[in-house]
Amino acid sequence: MSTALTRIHHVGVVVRNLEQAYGFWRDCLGLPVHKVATVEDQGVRAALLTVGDSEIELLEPLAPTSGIGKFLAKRGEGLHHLCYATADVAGALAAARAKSVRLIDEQPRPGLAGMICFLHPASTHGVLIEYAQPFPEDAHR
Amino acid sequence: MRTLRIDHVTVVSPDATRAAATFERLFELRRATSGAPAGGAALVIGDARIEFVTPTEDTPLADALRTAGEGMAALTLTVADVDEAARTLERAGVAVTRVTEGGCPRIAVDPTAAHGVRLTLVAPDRGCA
Repeated sequence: MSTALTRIHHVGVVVRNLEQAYGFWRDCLGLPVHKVATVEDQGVRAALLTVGDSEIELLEPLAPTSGIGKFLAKRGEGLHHLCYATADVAGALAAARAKSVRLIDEQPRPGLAGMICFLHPASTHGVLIEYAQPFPEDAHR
Repeated sequence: MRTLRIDHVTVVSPDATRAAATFERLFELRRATSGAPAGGAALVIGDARIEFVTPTEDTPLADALRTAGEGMAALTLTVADVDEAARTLERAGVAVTRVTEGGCPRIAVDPTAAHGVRLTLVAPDRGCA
């Protein structure tokens, strides 16, 4: 399986409230909501909105003490992370490790976008990078 | 409004050339053959790009670099019809700024309405961008 990073899977955006955010991203821009879920281990309620072959991921913190809650308190709403799609997230993560990239996740874990992992922004010029291998039912995503 | 795809994300850095080289090496992305920002660089991923900019003027991107530091600072989406998109947003009470660069229309969306995102809408013809 190829570890190539094939496209932007999604761009993550932190918002205060998902329903309010739909008013702009869904209703004004016309982006359909593809999936909504609560991801407890990340402390968020998240929605994926389709834009071409990619998505916008809206992230609402479940609590101010979560990572996203702290981001919101410190920096306000806005761009949060950039996610690449790959067919082999474990292989892509191993390739990043081999290039001495500082990692947040030592191994892939389930997330809204599929099996995911995060790289530390200290290695990537301040950009929080996520890799996602979509679940088979979302393979077209 | 028909929003078609992500055109590019913008990364601001004090050294855009170095940042682009890092992404090129780590993620094995190829350089865009045209349309790179002045003084910066662009890498291709799928049908989108990552642009790297060192803002030197008093611009929103310079503000972003000064206040938030190096990182992802802006998002640009492609829409089917820029004028129709502007009208739709204005009808919804969203403030937009119409800009024409190189004969190509662009819309800068009020970041407050776009939930803190510096968002630009562009036409499908990237050669125009």
